[in-house]
Formats: sequence, structure tokens, C-alpha cells
Amino acid sequence: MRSTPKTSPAIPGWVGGLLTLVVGAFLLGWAVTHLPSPPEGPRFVGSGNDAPRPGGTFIFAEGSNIHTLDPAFAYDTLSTAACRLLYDALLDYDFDGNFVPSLAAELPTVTDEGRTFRFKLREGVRFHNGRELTAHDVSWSMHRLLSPSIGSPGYPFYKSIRGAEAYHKGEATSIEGIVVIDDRTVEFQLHEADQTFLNAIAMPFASPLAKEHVEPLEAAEGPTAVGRNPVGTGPFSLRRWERGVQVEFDRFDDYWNPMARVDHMVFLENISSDVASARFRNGDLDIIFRPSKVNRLFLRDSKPWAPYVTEVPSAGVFSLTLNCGLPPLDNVHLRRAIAYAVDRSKLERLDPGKVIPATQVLPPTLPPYDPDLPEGQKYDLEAAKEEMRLAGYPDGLPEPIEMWVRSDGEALYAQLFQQDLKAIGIEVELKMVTFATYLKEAGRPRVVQMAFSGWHQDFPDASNFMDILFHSRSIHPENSENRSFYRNPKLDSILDRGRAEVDRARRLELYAEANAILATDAPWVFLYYPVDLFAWQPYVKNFRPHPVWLNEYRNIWLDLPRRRVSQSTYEVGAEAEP
Amino acid sequence: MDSRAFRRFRRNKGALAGLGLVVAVTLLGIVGPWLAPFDPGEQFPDLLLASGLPAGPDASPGHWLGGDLLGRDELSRLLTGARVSMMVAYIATAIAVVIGVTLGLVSGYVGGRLDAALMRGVDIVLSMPFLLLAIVMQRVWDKPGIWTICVVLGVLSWTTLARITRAKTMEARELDYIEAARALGLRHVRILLRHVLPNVAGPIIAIATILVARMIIAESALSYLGLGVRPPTSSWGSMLSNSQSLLLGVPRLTLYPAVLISMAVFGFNLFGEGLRDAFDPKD
Repeated sequence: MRSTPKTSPAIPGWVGGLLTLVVGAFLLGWAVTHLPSPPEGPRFVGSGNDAPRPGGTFIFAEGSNIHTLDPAFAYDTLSTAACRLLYDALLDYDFDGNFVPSLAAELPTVTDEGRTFRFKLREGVRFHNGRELTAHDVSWSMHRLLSPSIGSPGYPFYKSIRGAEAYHKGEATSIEGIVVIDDRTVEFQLHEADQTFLNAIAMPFASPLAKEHVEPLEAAEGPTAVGRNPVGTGPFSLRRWERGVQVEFDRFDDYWNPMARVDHMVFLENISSDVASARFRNGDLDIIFRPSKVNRLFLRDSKPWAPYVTEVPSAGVFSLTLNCGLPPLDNVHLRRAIAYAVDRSKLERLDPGKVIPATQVLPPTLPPYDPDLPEGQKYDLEAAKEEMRLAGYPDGLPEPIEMWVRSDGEALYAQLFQQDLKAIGIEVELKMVTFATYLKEAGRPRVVQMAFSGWHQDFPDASNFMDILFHSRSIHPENSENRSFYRNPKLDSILDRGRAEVDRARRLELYAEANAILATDAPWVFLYYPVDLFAWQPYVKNFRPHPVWLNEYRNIWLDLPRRRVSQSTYEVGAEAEP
Repeated sequence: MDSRAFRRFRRNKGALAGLGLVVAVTLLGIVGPWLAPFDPGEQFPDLLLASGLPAGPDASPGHWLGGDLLGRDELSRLLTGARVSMMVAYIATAIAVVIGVTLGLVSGYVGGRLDAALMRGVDIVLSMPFLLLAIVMQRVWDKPGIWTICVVLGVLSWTTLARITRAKTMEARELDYIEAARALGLRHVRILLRHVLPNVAGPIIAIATILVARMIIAESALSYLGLGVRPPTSSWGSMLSNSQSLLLGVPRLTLYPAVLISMAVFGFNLFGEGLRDAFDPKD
């Protein structure tokens, strides 16, 4: 320990300290402003091949982690994206959102007033273990998906199959409505018409698995084993999964579709968007989806990048979920007051081009979205105050409301709403929770008052928003999807009719009616529709944003070998393409 | 502080500079929120550029440091954040002092088995990774807030104080005047508080001052990990954390709180070391 010096040294300690501080601050400032800036344009371009060619490794990254590679449990965007590489379903969507046959040889024949669907399987489809797919695999996999023992979140989508409910409850040993006609033909019989059944069949949940692989594995290692060791019929097979770090896929050579594909795919997990953006601009990642703010602004305006950047409205909506089963938000006037008080234009001001202010539950991509919906939610301070008066709180809400947020970005937006709601006398306290906590607690009635939330479509149909999020059937003691716990018998009956209605125009009318009810009753305060930005390297070919699947990269091919571009190419006046 | 120590302190220019910084940041903590020219929660459209990035100081008159990442007045947020940062640092230190000094006094004065047990307790607390434990405690608590942070930080930081107090108490216990006090039949509590404590107070004050600096850093670290104050409350640490997403685009937002934190920490360290040197009996 130093004692007070009798004679001063050449430089007293405090002067040294102060110098260190000044020099440190200077260095930091200098480093931040003079760091080698990322390249102005792409660092690599392709060789100029026009014809699709196989080969290469495609690398992409996401900010969170994959939970499972078992399609029966894949109900988050990243697990779904990974399962889309490993598995196929009977049907798929093309890039315009139309059904196309995948494992089925053709679209199914529909009989019995839309209640019977007969699928002919494609020939020569093989599992990754080499065995050929048969109709028995389709039936067996559906039984596994809907069995009471595994508890798949996909069950509600297949309820309309005759006997599925009894089987799921354990009252029957098999599902009556799934009939194997012969090795190549399988038939689904429904107990009521269901216009979303084909959508359900195209979901990864309904992907066929190989029984001889799954059964011994589950017996030996338990129900989550398939999620670590998948065998499907998809274009890629699993090579290695370092949990939380990365998944590596190999091309499956016996795949039924002879399209050109890359040799390997690498899916990096838990890479924050800042880091991913920097790595993308350095040429270390092949594609970026939802880059961080500074990089998004850069990519939008960059001339050299322009041919490789696209922005598409995402088929989703972000909202505040209000718990209608818990006072004081069971008061419809209070909910409406909140819906009127939130100034959505502030979000647009903060992230121009990334958010579209929301007025209703359906995103603009999905009919019957109505841009001029008279009941649509919007900012109107006077109306909000009037609703506060009608709610019985002319002087404001005596108790604060707790709002759950799940990320730093949401916390930022939420601070704007905090200010807006303060203006009508509602105090909001923010609580940061992890996404896992949110899923667990918000699915229980009477726990969460208000939460930042969102929904992205599973398939392009209004019922995928409304049935799941607002039907009273989606309320359970645990894991409710209806997290506003909104119950409205009138809405329930409209939704039930809509699900069965065969006439498309009549069906859209029903959903338009439901849309208006939801905007008026405000179980959700609709905030914004996100706009996604994709940017890809010039040597990445055949990429298009998919209208249904996020992170859909299975059809990509790489124009290799890639060539390095001199950065001087991008100086003022130079052309982007060398 | 006796007059000799005071003279020693006054001759130490570093300590005086530290005192100056400490007084400055403490004053900022007290009056900061009243000096704030604007509501720290209000979003000003002028403070956002067309791109949505925060505007600089010259964008709008009156906003001397420009906008933060939501377009709120940066200066007002720094000033209101000063109070939170200073409050957390002082209160957490106070909690640590109360726990550390009490245990140190008792341990050193009583000695024997109790001493051994308490010192093993200190060893156990010292052996646990501070930040990790703070994170766990923050997570377990249902309502994280300023008070939670104070308690968490205080409860985890009293060990050095306990050790120093114990050592000094053991020395003091053997002194003649304490023996005299005991011979007069004074109660132990009175002896400890009236006769031992003033004798050991010097080093405690010095250590506590340095502890304030550590608490400022710890609060910043917790806030940086997203476990600090609840938004929209700002602290220098949370402002540092929030600005990192714009570090490459708008480094200014990171620099302001970083400079303030460094200044405060540096000041408390200088001041604390000056006090320690002043009280050092070896001189």
C-alpha cells in the first residue's frame, strides 16, 4: 500500500491518472470515429454464370436460437426455418403463395362437399436413411403428431379430421379419418368442412417422418430425441448441431427434386443483428434479414447494394395485448381509450420505412384487409379522453398498469406508449421478461395485464390470425394462444362459419365483419406492420422473399467462385457492377 | 479527522482534485433533475432526422446535446440520470457500510468462535462471482427497480469493509483506554459505538469512498446487461447500454455517459485514496 510520499515523484499519481483518463477518452473517441469503415459496396461478386449450378456453402445467421428440429414441435420461426430444410410436407406454396404439390404428386382431389381429400404420393421420394416414402408413413406421422402423449402445439390445426379429437384425448387407438388406400394413396376425411385444412397440410407439423428411425430413438432417449437427430425427406440432411451456436446441413443427393442446390448450409444461431450486419457487409454472411438500424439505413440508400436489397411488408402485426379477463382492462371503454391514445406515427418517425402504422389485426398482405376500415384503430386524443370518461375514469386510472416487453427494441417503443398513455392519465410500468417467460406466463389467464406481442402468419388465411388469437376456444389454463383472454360468442360464431364457408366471397365478408369487431372491441391495440429488409451477396442467386416462409433459402444457388471487388469501384461515379 | 491527517490531506493535490470531482458529481445528482431543461421522457420530432437517427446539437435550439435514440433531450436525460446513478451508488454503499462495519466490529471485539464463523462467512461471500450473483438476485426479484439494485449491490459488497473494521477493532480492543472503559463497567455496545468506532472510522471512510466508485461501475454493468433501472428512468449505465446499438452511427450518445461515469469513478477513487493516505498511521 502506498503511503503519502514525503518528496513528490516526477509525476504525481493523480496527474498520471488524469493523463490516462484524457488519453483514454481521446483514444476511444478517435477509435470510434476512425475505425476502418465497412466496405461501401459488396466485397465479392459472382463469376457470371447464368445457369443454375450446384455447390458451395451458404451461411446465414439469426439473433435467437433454434429450439428443435422435430417438426411436431417446431412452432417458432427459427425452428420452422430449420425444419423447412430437413422435411417436406405433402403440399407447399410457390412464391406467389399458391399451393403446389410437394410430396404429393398433384393437388388432392376433393369430394364430399370439401370434406374428403385424396392425395396421390410422388414416386421416388426417399428419406435421408434411403428408404422410400409410402402412404403408411404419412398416416403414421399424423398419428404421432396428434397422439395424446407428445402434446404437439400443432394439434388444433388438424382437429377437423374425423376422429382426431377422440384420438387426441386417448379415447380411440387410431384416427378414423386418415385412411391409407394403397402404398401411394392416402385419404383425409373431415367431420366438417374446413377451408384451412390444406394450409394445415402444408405446415411443417404434417411432415412425414420415418417410423423405423423415430421409434427406437424415442424409446432410448425420450421424446425430444428426434429434435436433435432428425431424418426427413427434405432437400438437406443434418450434419451437425452445436446447440445455440450453429446447425450445419448437407445436401441430400437422393432428393426427389433435381434442382441445383448448395452443398452445405450453415445456420448460425444467437448472432445479434449488429454483428450479423457487420459480418454480412464484410462478405462473411451470404444473406441478411432484418439488419440493425444503422445498417438498414445504409443498405436502403446504398447504390452499389441496390440490386441486392429488397424490402417487403411482412405478413405480421405487432400489438399490445390487453388482458380482457383481468380488471381494469375488462372495461371495453378503457381498452378503446388506450387504442385511441397510442400515437403510431411516432414509430414511423423513428423507423421510417420499417413500420407501417396498424389499424386492424390483418396485415395489408392478407384479404380482407381494408385500408379504409371505418372501425380501424387510430390516434385521436380527444376520442381517447372521451372513452376514459365513458370508462369511468375521467381523472385517469388510479392504479398503474404493468406492461411486459420482451426485448430492448420493444422496451424502446414501449417508452413512447408510456408517454402517450400518461397523456390520458394511465401510468404504465415496464417489465422486461425473456421470450420464454412471456410465452409461459402470458398463456395463463389473470397473470399479465398488458404485453407487447406480435403474430406472424403460419399460412395466408385470415383464420390463422383470428381463430388462434381471439376465439374463446384458444383459451386454456396453460399455453393459451388467445393471450388477451377475449371471449365474444358473436365473434366465435362468425369465425366458426368462416372456417367452414366454401364460397370465397361470402367467407371474406365474414372475416371482414370479424375484423371490424376486433378493431372496435380492442382486445389488442394494433401498433404496426413490420417491413422486412433482405440483402444478399451478388453471387447468391435465385433468392426471393417467400410470402409464407421466413428464412426460405432452400432454392438458392451460388455463382461460384466468387471474386473480390476493389473498393475503389464504389467511389463516386463508378458503376456497381464491374 | 484529526488536524494532522487534515493537513496531510490538504497537501495532497490529487485528493483535493478528487474531492472537487466528488462534490461536482454529487451536486449534479442532487440538483441535476431540477436543472433538466425538458421532460426527459418526451419525444421531440425535431430531434430525429428524416432517417430516424437522433439529430445532433445544432438541430434544434435549446437542445444543447441533441437527441437520444428516441428523439428525447439528451441533456435532460443525462441530468436526471445523474440522480439515479448517484443515489444507487450512495445507498448501496451505505448498506454495505452498515453490514460490514457491524459485522467487523462484533467480530473483532468478541473474537473467538464467533469471529472465526463470521470471517468464514466473509470468505464465502468473497468466493462468489459478484456480477453473476447480482444477476441471479435481480432475476429472482419480481420487481426490479432502483431499490432492488441498491440492496443487491449493498448486500454483496460489504466484505472488504468487514475485514478492515475487524482488524482495526482488534488493535483498538487491546488499547488501554478501552480496558479502562471496560473496568468502569460500561456496556459493550456503548464501548463499541462510543470508543471503538470513532477510533476505526478513518479507514472505513476511505474504503467506503472507494466503494462508491465501485458501485457506480457495478450499476453501469448491471444496466448494461439490461438488469438495471426500468425504462423510462435513465441512469448513466442504462444510457450507455441503450446507445450501443448506434455506436457506429452516432458515437456521441455513448461518449456522454461514458465520460460522466469515468469522471465520477476517477473522482471517488482519487478522493478515497487521498483519505486513506491521510489516515495512514505509518506516516
